[in-house]
Amino acid sequence: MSDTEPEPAVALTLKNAWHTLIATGGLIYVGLLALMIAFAFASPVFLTAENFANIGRQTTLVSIMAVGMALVIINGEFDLSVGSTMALSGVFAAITMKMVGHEWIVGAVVALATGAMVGMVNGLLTVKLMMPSFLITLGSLSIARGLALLVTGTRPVNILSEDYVMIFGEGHVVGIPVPIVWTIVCTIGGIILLHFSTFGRKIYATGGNTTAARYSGINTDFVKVTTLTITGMLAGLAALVLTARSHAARPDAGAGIELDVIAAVILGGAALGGGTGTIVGALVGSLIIGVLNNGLNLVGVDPSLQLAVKGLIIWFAIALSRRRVR
Amino acid sequence: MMSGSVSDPIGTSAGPAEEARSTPPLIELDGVVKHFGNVHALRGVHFDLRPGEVHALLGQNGAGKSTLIKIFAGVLDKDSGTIRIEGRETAFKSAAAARTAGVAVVYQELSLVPSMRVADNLFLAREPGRFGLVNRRKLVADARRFLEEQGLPLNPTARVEHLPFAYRQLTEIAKALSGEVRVLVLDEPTSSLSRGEEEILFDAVRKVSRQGVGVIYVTHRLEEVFKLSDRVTVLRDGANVGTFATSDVTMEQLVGSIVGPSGTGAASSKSEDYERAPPSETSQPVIELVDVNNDRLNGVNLAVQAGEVVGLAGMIGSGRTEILESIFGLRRIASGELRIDGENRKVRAPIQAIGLGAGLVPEDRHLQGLVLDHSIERNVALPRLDRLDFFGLFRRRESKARARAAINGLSIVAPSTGTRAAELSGGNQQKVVFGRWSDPTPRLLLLDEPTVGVDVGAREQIYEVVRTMVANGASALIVSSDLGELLMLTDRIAVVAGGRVVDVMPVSEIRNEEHLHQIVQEAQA
Amino acid sequence: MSREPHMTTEAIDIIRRRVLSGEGMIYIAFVVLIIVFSVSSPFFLTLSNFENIGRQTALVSIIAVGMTFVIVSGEFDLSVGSVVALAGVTAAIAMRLFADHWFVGALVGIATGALVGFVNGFLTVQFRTPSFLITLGSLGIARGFAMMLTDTRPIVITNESYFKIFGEGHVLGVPVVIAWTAVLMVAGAILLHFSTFGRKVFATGGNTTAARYSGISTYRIRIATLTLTGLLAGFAGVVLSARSHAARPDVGAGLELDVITAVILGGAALSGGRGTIAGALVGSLIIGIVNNGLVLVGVDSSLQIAIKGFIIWIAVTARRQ
Repeated sequence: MSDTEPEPAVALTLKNAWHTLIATGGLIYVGLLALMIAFAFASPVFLTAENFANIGRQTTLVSIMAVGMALVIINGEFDLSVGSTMALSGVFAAITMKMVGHEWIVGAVVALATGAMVGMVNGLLTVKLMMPSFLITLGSLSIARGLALLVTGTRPVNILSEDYVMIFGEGHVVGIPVPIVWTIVCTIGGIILLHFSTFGRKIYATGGNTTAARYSGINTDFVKVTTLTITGMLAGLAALVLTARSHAARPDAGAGIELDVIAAVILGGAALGGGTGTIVGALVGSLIIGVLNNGLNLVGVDPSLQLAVKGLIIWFAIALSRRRVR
Repeated sequence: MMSGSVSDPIGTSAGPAEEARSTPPLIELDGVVKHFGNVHALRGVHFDLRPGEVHALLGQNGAGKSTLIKIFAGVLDKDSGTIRIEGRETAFKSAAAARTAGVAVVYQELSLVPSMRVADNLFLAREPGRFGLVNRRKLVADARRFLEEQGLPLNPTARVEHLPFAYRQLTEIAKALSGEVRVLVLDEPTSSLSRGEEEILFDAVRKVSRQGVGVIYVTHRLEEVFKLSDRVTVLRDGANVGTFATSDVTMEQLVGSIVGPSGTGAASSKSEDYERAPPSETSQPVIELVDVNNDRLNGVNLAVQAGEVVGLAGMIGSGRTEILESIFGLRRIASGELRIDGENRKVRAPIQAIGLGAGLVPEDRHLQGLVLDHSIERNVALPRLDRLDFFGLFRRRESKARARAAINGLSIVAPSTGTRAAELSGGNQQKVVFGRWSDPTPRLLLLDEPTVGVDVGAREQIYEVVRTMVANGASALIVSSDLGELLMLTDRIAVVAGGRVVDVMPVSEIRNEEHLHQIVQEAQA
Repeated sequence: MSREPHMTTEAIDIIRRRVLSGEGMIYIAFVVLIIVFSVSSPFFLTLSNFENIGRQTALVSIIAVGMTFVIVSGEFDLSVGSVVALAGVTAAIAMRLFADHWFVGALVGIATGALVGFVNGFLTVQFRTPSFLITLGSLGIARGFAMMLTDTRPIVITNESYFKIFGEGHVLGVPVVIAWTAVLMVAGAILLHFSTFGRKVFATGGNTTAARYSGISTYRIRIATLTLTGLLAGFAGVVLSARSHAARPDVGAGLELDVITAVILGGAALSGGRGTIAGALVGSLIIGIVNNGLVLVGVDSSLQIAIKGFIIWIAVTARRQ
């Protein structure tokens, strides 16, 4: 093993501004801006406050779960089960609320607890079996979906609690729609946890070099289980927003949403191998996907194509993150 | 006529030694120089290998052996000097070029597919057969015949992953030999073998050399040199000390030339520049291991007094590192006691060891020490995260101050605390690993090869850091292959072999580095 | 050297190891399952039910052949379900647009699959990225294209020989679907276990460095295995569309779960370098029998989805070293 020689500091000249842009992950901010300008020209409706509130609402689910997924990916793991977890949490919340007289707090607690539970099982199996988390969560993707379909008999469950609907779906706080408020709360919470807390340091270290983290006295198994649990819980919160908005919990909700969530996080600059990434990046990634979907809609592009575009975004995000590594 | 036979090692056996002398050497190096930045790894090395001989290559860590091997393998290119293969000048530009020239380097477990059988591995990517189909029967038969010809006691249908370690090593050798091989390079092949397994390997090496192949045998163990080799070349600080016929040298002479003149005086110079009160014999040991057993240790007994520095001397694979790992909670202790301040403790995880006041500087800083992608500040904070915690929030400013203190205190050359660890030189990286333990100073420092891959200047600074920590009340347990370093830093030396502490002696009883070298060699036997 | 006693102890050793290590457990589990369902349902142990199971598991079995290559070479492919849909759609469209001939449909369908697989492989080695992520992207892309090309509506297929050859005919009394599965299984087994290419696949997954040192282009091998899986997923798409007389853009969702489970159940190591086609077949049959048995015993279809998830957990657990 030859020693790494110190590289000369890269001077910030126009010449390598492009490389700096890629290296620092600044490209996505430029990308978001460029997308918005392009759509602003292509559609007169795009650049309106109403449409922006729309985008915020539409991206809520992905943004909330992207906060959790960012933690998981920075920690060096993956969670493919978030879509099913969201459906299962929503279904459980709706069913229990029916049983206890439509108390919103019961629904909220049950949804968050269900999500956290699925996440914790994912985490425990991953660390105890020492298996790749994407395989474990591929299993739970199916299990959670199956259970959601089973307990509902594949039919949607109606939600009658007005409080519930207002708090998570349709209310406003100082003029801001609650889904957006919840997104902001999660983002700030995520930023504090990841960038300002001691635990955040442990997440970064575990993802950056698990062995070194372990040798430094960090309980890496605990860190992994916790981040996966948090992601599950945020999937539960996403379920609250979704079910409140649609006044019903559908067992087939959220299929394939893991694609958006993972794309958002990788687009936001998280390294695939773990150890780097930011919450703000994940949020911007999610907004890019949202703006793209919204813009393509306004311009009148086939919704089927949008699915393909999501896949292409993942490829693009991977290509970008590879550039960053070099 | 010679070239025909050596290019086909399976064919008729090569001529006897007299004939070999009349032909040009198989491989000849002249004035080979290699730098890494401003570190001179090789400063004009000469080396030659004759057909059919076993040529041992000796030297301490950092003497240039591994660089030389990499040049043989074509992994590294020399900066200047010449390499001649059978008298013709060659330059290896790649591993493939070296291989084509007939040079095969046996790495440890690098070139085998564990889930495949021995025969499959031998003929990997050149299986006998037609139309893309493998003739499995012929494959096994060919492999069996080849192994019998080479005299290697291997079952061609055994899966590699089920083989004991020595036989995997043999498979590596067999695989290396299965092409057109004139030069076989073995890099510390016995470092993880047991006694009996070694003999199997030695037999194989002898048989191979009898076929006319030249064998370059790199080792730390001097007894092997005498058992196996015809000639021996010693390197020190990237230059030749000498090449001897094995029959003409004694072990003392070899040790002397490996260690060099500076080593002979090391023990005496030590007491001068390193003065402090000797730890009192009556004090309670900070840490004591009583009959500690696990998968790699066989009843280790060892005690470190407060303020004492104990060195662990032994071969790679002797259990030195495992002793540190067992103390630090990285390796489960199956039976025996680990007493800290006289109290029996069960340390199951590093966090507990750290809580009890231990700090480890691991052997491989890239793999076990640092998160290379992260900043100095992040790395320095790692083992102290819980101390930098304020109701769940991370005290960033304090962590930065700590990192800055570490940079200043250890003279780490870096633009800021935000510099990525990957951008630092080896010495500075190692200082960052030390910096993690600088505040507060641990009560027991566990250092595993603290200066490996570190240049001379940084090495002195690291010694200074260790001394300062000890002066501040730390005890230390140091593993090092650099025996001079052990003599310089420690109060007592524990000799480790076969997963046990064989002997403990005060440094004052050791005459010099040469003497310690001999003690270690004898403990092995 | 006395070879005979040596060989027998070795043979015993291998048998003992295989049975205990889980490589043999699957076959035991297989037999146990058959016995359990035979006892609990009178319809289970009938020829027609076995034909049923064979037909139902055909898709999974066919793709599992390719997935075995992929997993043995150390990669994963999550896009197979979408590829099945896309291939069926392109096959149907080609038969409408160019010529209503079974060969055109089959060729276009299979080529579509192979193309997606090739792109998966190419991007995986090009970006040096885990293939499960790349194929997660193509999962979306292929599905999106399938829906776009069809406007999310099924395309009806009218070619009779297409149905006969790939879906509903019989060869010597055996349903063609089963015949195709058998043919591809045998071909796959020969390619993986008896060809030089197969050796290279094992070496690539077992120890990439060793493979490269032996002169194997591990990049090409990985591209090849992913292309092969795409190709077989394309074939599965043709079979499915022939069986249902239509190409639906929403078929095959979640199929990757079954296929990966089958291969891992069948003894393939997640890290690569280990696995057999026969194992994958047994794995696929186990999944088929569980599904079939659960239906016969009258278990809810939602629960079956959950049970599939549990099976992958069990498979992963069994593979733990």
